[in-house]
Amino acid sequence: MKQITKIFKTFNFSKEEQEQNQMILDMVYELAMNEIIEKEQDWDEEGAHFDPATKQVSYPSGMMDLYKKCQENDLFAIIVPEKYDGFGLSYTLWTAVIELMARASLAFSMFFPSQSLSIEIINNHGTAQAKEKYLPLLSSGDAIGAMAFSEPNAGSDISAVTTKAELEGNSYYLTGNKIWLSHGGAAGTNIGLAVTDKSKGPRGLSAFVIDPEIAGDGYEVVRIEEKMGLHGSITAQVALDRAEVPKENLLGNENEGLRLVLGSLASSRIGIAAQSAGIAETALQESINYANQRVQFGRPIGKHQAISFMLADMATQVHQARLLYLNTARMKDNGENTQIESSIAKYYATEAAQKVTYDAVQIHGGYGYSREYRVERLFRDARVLTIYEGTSEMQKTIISRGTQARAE
Amino acid sequence: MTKLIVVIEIAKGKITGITKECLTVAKKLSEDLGVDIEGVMLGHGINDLAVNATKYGIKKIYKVDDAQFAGINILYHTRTLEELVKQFSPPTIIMAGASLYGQEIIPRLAARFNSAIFASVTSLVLEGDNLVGIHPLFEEKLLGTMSADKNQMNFVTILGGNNPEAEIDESLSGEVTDFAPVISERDKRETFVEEKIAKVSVDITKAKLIIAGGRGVGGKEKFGIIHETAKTLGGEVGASRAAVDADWVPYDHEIGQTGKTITPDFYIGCGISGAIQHLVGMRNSKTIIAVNTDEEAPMLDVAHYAIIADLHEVLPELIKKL
Amino acid sequence: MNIIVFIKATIDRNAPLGPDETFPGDRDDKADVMTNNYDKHAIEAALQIVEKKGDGKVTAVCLGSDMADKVVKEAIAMGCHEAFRIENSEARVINFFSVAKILAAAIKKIGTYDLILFGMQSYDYGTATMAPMVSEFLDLPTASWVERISLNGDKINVEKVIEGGTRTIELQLPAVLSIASSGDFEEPRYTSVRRIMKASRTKVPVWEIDKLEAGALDTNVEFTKIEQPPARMEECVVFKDDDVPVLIDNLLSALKDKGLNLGAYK
Repeated sequence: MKQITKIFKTFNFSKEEQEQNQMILDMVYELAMNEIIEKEQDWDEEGAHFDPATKQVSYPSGMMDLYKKCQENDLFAIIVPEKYDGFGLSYTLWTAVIELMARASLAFSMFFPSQSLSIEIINNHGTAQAKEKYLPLLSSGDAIGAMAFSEPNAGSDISAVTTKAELEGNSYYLTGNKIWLSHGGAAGTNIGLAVTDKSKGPRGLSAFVIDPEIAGDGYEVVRIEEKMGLHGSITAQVALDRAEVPKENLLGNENEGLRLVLGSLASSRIGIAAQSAGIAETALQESINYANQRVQFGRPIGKHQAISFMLADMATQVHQARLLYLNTARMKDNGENTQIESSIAKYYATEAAQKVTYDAVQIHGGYGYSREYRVERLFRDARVLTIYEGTSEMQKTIISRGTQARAE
Repeated sequence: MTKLIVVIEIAKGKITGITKECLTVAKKLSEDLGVDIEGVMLGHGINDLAVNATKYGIKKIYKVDDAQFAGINILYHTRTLEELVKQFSPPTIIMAGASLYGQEIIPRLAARFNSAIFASVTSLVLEGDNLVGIHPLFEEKLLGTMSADKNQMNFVTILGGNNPEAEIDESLSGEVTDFAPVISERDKRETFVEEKIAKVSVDITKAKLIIAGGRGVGGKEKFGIIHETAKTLGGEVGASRAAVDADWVPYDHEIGQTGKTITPDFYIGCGISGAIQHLVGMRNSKTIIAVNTDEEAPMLDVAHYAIIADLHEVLPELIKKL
Repeated sequence: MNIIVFIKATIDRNAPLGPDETFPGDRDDKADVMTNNYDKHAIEAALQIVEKKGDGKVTAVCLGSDMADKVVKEAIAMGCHEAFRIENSEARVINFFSVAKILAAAIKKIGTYDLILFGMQSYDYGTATMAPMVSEFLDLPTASWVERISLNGDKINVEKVIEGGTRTIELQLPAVLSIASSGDFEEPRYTSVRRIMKASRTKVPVWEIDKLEAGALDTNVEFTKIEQPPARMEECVVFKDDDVPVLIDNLLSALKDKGLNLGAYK
């Protein structure tokens, strides 16, 4: 916690803001380290649920109780503008909250990056009615925000979306299949892409707020994924069958959806970098504790150079990941375009999380491979980080193109 | 000459263990001061108890025996003790065990007499013209030495679990004298409603082996394994406040500040993190074994052995092996 | 219903303690200062009572140095309506008796109150003397280790912890209570962003001890020294990181080496 505080002190926050930040982070730390962390193993073992008969999804036991505590503590309102029942606080603070949550449970922290992305997209591109309706719901957490971009043939290349949207009267009707929806079936808002003008290819896509309550039977969960990690989080496949989306839920202008979505992903990538710093920090702490207790060849293994240097590398990578995400978040708060920096932060931090969790397992030796030990879950959970919200390869493409374009 | 008075606390018709610990401290102090120990006892129908108390070396007992003292009313007790203490001029030392009762009554009395208080000390000795007591700070991570002039009024509470209980000596006797209760109208601002006390089905203070469970056991049904282990190994069941408060096990199994003080040959603490309030009740057990998933738990600071694993796996296996 | 809750700044349980740690309010690192955990149960009790009654005000009061402002603000961020600090820089007054006199004087200055709450003890001194002493200085009824509360007109029913059970008594208001960490107030609420925003905009009023008319603050018992307890002679032998049967075998053989037999009581 003190590591985050130290970095915050280097930022241009006023004294009052510093104090607010500290109190909020203290509260989140307590919630994460006293309660969420206790459940993390159970959630991994139990996993999320899907009932094929009713098509209902649910989170593992106790997860929603803790989600409610986040609601009671107003956590989802942090970055929402005051006009919509939020507090208009910094993205820097928000990402630090994500790191703390990810330290306790990556699965639980999944509630956060998609919430802020939903809030940001609707706030920047939504109609007045959509903002009035959805921002307060997202701010209170009464609506969970989800992203419905990916399709069976549209992963990294989200322009390959084939879900079609047909305008009839005052509503669009969406038909197609969406996959890998985090919180799919549980979310109150789903931001989705669909084809509004097939002839224009990628320039014929539009973005919508799909509201399952309005879509009714047109929005149906088909299955949830059985994943390597993140067992506690719902990852759903959703079938849209003439799902109704009222006109006022169109985001931006028709046929400008792709640019809108791609432009927004930069922010959520900072959140993924924050998750990575969090899970890596926990892997580091677990490793330090273990290395100081485990005695081999007559002394704690942490005193052997081989292990102590691994710990040094891990600590360095965690610190770098943290600096990158916080610094990029601060740039964003200052109104800068962080397209490239967000990708750098995401690329570096998520890869660092692979290396750090890998080394954590290595330091734990045989125990690290055992399900009883936390590092085994950290290693499995962390694996998704370099994949979702744009693979490392996509990030490198963005970084490379961007840096070449702005070469001096 | 110094008056040395011990407030004798009664619970369930007996002199409490912590009072006997206090008497041990008082005995040493009385020898150093060259004075007798006197006692005060408040209750109803307590003549036999008062006579019995003199066998602990108390030379004179002031007995307040009145129906209005059948239950404890802090205001009644304060008022009556005030009247008694008023009769003595300093130097006077008023001591009690730092039980819940002692910790309510003694500070209140000290404030009434505008006097010094040695609150929750583990010892009280004479050093020259001063009384000196040790008061643990930061849950015993540090020890503070308190000192006060012996020639003034001094009020003292003695922390439990730090001194042996005084033993009864049948050859001793003393005087029992009645002291009339004093209750003012203002003292009726406290009235008794009801008491929920576990029927004494078990006296865990006599057991040689205690298997104790805490919050980590996880539920009333899950507490079954603690009972089963105790039964199989021939011990008694103990519990932390958290476990009795959650109604997993009756109050008479509780160990610690608000429960019993135990010194069995073996204490096995299962899923008990070891809050200081629990530790004071069991840390003088001869062999302490902790079964806990958290290696950082304070219980390990007093334990001799610890198994870091889930108690629900450990206990069935332990039963099998013994 | 006006409730006053006394809160104390103490040191984070996980922060290292100096060998002569006497002044919990004055640390170099502000991050080490935190609200005495037991006091949060008292705040929870106060808030629950006011919420249940539907009206009233909770005022948190802290005796401490400016390091304790953090604690005062946390009280507001938990939901207390008002809070102030009584300046006690360099821990000028630490004697229990004098502290109780100051707190009682502060209550008299506040003037209107129905309930005065404390945590059941502090993490640092841990004497549990404040509630009974303050109640005496104010001539009020008191109950310590209160687990449950119900209001009954101008009276209050409290269920308090006693050895081996609980006792319910009725007290005439106003009264002084110390709140147990078990029972109805076992889980104190968190701060919330909304209330943190309010707290950070609140200027903490500071009262001066000398203006409270607390009377003579004589120290008739003093701390003459504070030291670390002697190190434990025997370290705990830890069995871990292996299959449970192996761990148990290791334990039993360690006991056997010492001539101890866990199976002797059957």
